[in-house]
Amino acid sequence: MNAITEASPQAANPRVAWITIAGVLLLLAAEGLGLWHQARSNSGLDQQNGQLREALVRIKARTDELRASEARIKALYARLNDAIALRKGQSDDRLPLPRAANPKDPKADPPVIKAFRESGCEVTRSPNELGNLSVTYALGSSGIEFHRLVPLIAQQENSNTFLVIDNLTLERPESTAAFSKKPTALNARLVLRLLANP
Amino acid sequence: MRPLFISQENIIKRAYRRDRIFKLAGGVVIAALFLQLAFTYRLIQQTLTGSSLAGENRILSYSIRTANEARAKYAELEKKLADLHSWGPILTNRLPASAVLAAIEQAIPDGLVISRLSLKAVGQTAIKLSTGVFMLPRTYQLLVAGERQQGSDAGLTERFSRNLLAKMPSASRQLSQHAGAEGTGRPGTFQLVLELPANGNYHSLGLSPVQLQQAENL
Repeated sequence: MNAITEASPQAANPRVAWITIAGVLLLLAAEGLGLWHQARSNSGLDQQNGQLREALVRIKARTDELRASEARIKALYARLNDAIALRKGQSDDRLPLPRAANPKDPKADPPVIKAFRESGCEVTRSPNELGNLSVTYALGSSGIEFHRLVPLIAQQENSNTFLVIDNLTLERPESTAAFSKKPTALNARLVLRLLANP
Repeated sequence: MRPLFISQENIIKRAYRRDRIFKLAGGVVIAALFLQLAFTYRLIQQTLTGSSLAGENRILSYSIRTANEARAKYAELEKKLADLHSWGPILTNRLPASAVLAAIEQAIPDGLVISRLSLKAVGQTAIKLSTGVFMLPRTYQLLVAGERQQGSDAGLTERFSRNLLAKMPSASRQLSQHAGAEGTGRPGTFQLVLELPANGNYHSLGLSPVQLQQAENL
């Protein structure tokens, strides 16, 4: 039987030491990984909270802004929305009555068109070619002087903020001489469009 | 050397004490024990922070839900505001034809008379609204034709053209100018063609700032 010495493998197995070191290091690594994961999750949560905080501030600010300017928005909207023309035969969310859909009925015209009609313009509704939200009218007159026509157009442009003039032609009648001092009714032709509900 | 008076147990213990690898293993174990303190401290800290953050997250989520509910009451108002914003380009860029006519009236000198005037939209911009598309004139072509008084200054048309251009919206330009000679008993003629952009800069047309400001404030 061999006696045990300090150098003999039975005295101290170095593998035990290596296994211990590896085990401890593994344990430390696992703990470090766990801590890192938790730190990352905390950081993500913190970031998410920051975003939520910002969103909350934004939503609250927006709500306060809306609350503060509610009256102003409603008033402005009501004023501008009134200028939007209703298409003929269109009534609020209802099917048109058999007798109501008469496109030639002047009562169904928007106020702007009525005003032109009352000033002596002939009005015809033109087919709409531009966009799906326009109603187009062709107007013609040979009885309005320049000094009456300009205020009339200005008044209608001011009363309807969505009135757009596509074409305006004014001609002096051939029977009137140039530099005539007499009031001259012009041959006027206008093509105008109004914003309408779809 | 053979150990004669030392027991085997002592030999093994000595080997554990003296061997470098066992010393290293011992050092690692001791260091790991110290690190456990730091780990435990960090773990407690992280756990506390995590639970505090999770609590804050719950409170914030609840607050957002409440705030969204409060905001939902203004959904209709928001739609109206969105409509107002979408109408903005129409209000700001629409060229007021009456102002153009008034500017022409102011610019025309005594020696000229207009026989034909035409203002025609030559380019359109699509304005997208919530319910569809509205076409808004982007550029207009203004044609002014007329007669020149007999014996009047030859540069009258040129001056009228310059004066008229100054009164038109900014970035307007003259496309053509034609002056016909006088004949016997017949006045000279002129024709101007200008291009007017509908760009919202109508100060030169004499539009009051209130009208513009109203549209800009939407």
